[in-house]
Amino acid sequence: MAVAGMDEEKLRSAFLEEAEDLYGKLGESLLSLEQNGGGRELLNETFRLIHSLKSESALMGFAKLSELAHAMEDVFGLARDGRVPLDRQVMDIMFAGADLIGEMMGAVSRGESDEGVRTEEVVRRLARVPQQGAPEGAPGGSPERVPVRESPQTPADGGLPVLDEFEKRQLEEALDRGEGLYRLAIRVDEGEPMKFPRVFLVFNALEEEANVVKAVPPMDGEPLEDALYGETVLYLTTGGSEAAVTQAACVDQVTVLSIERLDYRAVLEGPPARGGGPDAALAGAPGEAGAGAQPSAEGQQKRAGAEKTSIRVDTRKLDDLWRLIAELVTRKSRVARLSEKMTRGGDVHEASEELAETFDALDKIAGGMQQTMVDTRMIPIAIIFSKFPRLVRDLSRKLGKSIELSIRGEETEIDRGIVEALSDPLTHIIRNSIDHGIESPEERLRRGKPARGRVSIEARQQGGNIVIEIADDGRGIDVARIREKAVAEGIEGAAAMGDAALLELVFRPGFSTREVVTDLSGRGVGMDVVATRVRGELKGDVVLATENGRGTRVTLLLPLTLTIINALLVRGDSQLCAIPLTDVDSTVKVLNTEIRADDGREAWVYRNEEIPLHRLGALFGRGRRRAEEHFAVILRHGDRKGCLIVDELIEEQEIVIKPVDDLLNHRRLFSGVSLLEDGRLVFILDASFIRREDF
Amino acid sequence: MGAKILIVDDLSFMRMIQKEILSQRGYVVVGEASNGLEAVEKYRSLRPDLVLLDITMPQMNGLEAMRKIFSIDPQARVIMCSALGQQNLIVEAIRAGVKDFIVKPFKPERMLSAIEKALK
Amino acid sequence: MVRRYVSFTLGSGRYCVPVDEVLQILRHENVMEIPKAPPFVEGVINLRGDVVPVVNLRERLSVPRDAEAKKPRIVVTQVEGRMYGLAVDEVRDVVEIDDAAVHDDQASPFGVRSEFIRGIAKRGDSLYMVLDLPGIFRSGG
Repeated sequence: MAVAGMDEEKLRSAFLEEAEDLYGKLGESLLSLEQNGGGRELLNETFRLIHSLKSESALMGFAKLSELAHAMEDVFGLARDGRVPLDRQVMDIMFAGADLIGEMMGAVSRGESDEGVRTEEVVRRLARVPQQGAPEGAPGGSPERVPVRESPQTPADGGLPVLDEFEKRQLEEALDRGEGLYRLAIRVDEGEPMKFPRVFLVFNALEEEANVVKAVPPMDGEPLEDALYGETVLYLTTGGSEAAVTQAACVDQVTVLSIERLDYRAVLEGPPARGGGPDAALAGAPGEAGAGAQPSAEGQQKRAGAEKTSIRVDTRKLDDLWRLIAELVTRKSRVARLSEKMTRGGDVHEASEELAETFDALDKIAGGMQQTMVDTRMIPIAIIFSKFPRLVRDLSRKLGKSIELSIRGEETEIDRGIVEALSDPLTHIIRNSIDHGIESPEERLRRGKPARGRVSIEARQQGGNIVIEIADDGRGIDVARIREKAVAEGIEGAAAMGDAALLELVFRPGFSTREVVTDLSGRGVGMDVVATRVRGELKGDVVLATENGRGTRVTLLLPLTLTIINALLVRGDSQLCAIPLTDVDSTVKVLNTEIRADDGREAWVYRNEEIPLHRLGALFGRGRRRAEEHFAVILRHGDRKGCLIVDELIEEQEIVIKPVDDLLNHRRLFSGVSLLEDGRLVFILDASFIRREDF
Repeated sequence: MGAKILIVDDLSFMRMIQKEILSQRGYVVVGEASNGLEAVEKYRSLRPDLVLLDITMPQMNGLEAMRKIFSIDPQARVIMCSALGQQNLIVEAIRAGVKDFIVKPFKPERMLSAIEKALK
Repeated sequence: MVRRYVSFTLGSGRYCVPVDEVLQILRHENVMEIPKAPPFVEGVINLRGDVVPVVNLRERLSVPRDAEAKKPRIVVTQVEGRMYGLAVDEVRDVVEIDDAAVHDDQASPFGVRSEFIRGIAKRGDSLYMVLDLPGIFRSGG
């Protein structure tokens, strides 16, 4: 019995009351699902019912009931996510399971236990469903995500960490501040089903007192497989005592295995992050596999990591792909039948028409699949931005500053391949802003600024690039000082350099050395590394703009990787425009009588829908055509629709997107440009304009 | 110890069990709520020492309720109850300041030790 | 130190840009217009598949028009990794100018905004205005 000492009767009747209610609702839901198919709501609701039944029966100690419900929950979870179709077979098993639940509850209500009911058969059938129901070739019954990133770092059982440039800088700064460097190894109890969040609790608590420079397995970005966090090692620096660190790690279900103080020198001079040095076989320090005999555990881990790289994907994108594949299969059989017909001497003309039609459909499907695959690579930059509010809060508290952070454009999508590479530089820039840019509240007041400093991050898509801007209203950079230093260092042409060129020097390796840095109020630490990462690895660019005493803005420009899209070519007056098919809902004819004007804005009123209206000709700065009726494209962006009147609907075409410069796009209407085969210029419309107030 | 606790879960049976376990230990269950809205209301009026909050509930789920509670009282002590597979929600909750989390179905000792630690 | 510049004319004035920043010089033709562009943006050209914006230097610097340009050219330049075209009246020659001769004059006597000009150099009895290309091609005014 779950709760000792509690009145059995009372417990049982309370359980029954609620469980019977759940069971009744479950029966209804299953029927509804069988008859009408499943909408998102119904699927979720049914899942919740099964889940609740499982939890409650487990608490009561009804092991069989709970086991059956658990098995049903697993299968239903897969069905809800679309991994397994809710076909006749699966529904039958569900109903069988529900019947057994009914039987068991009957027994319980009669004062008996649930043991008497035979559930093994159904449980077994349920366990087999994932393999049967899965599409060909796909693994059966796997949970929604099994992300296994490469983990080519220290095995958690010892050794010094392998650090990259950013981490080394953090250590150097900590050393300057006189902080201690510790290695904390913790273990999560076997019984805890979710290990990563447990470790995260420790990490979180630690960040109040200390700075966690590195974690093995890593804590930033997407977590690896949960089981790997059973034993985690954290490398941290702190101005507090060892006791304070241990205290912070005092989290339920977690034991501290060891805590030791490390020597900065040993760690900083350890093997570099890439390519083991000649002394790779330092005692306990792992080098790259191959640079001398290394423990096989690390090598294996690395090899295993390199083989499996998988990603998390929004299941809706998988749904889209699934639908396209289904259509593909249908069309494919059409072609097969056609071919059969032809061999039997059918009507050639009729067949060729059908063939052409089928080809068109296949073409569209291929395009859709291409686009979807490309889409799966894109994820909102929010994945990087989400940790900044915390970072800002913690840092500003530690440094005694007051800072307000504003984030915009976190829904902007970036290629997931650059997420990791981008995260560090951004974090570094923000740290710089807070550390060296924003002044203390007292100083700010003295300078006539509000005591609260502002840091803003904005991301947006511009042309074929992603633009990320980080700005602060802090000290700014004294360009004159840079010039002084540059001249003193004998840098060529320093005296004649304009501000832009001088600021560019900040990105030069070696220029932002420690002394220069302190002179420049610390600004520039690690900026050369940022530049290398952004310009080299990410093939983008980074630019500094500043106003001495007023603030600084760092702008990153990153190229998008996708360049080919399927678009609808239209004409607005004499200018060609391409609308990505993914933004096109439909094409319609709009009659003048259906247009309503109100306070300078127009809308298309049709069948109870009122859609904001825009005219492409007008957007291009040209006049309005006089006509009774117009061709229009219904644009769809997210949940919003817009009606765009055009002068001509031309055709669908595959186009290569090229970035469009700001000079050509000051109203930000376009997401790119393209050139047709005949050299004509086409602007690619950014449908998100329908959401904006200024249109 | 007499600490005041608010229990939030949409299943009344769950709440009853939790209440029983807590009372036996000497905690005072000052209130119960079956959805997020109620939870915030009760928090406001009862100001408990700790809140046991279920993540998935209809009509304002656990996360939203948690955020609202923290905006009322940044020092609030909240323990989240979650099912398996809700890692992201838990991590988010921890970021927001939740003291601990328990995975359902949980053992009474687990719940008690989490509460004990959180109240320290 | 002495640097080499490509010089060109606009009306009666002489302008120049560092040789490293110049990619190509084209005849002024086939400029495709851009809807709703700022007045100093003439349009774009298709340079072997690349879309290159063309800025009219006269409009940009607000230099009054006196005579018809005899040999109008587009100077294709590279700025911060991107390509831009500059429409000028005539391209002259490559000149050598010493850094010391370039005066970083904030108060420009010619009434041209200093964000477009890096400095003014005297060479012989001619004055050359050294252009600040990033400033010229920057959008937002």
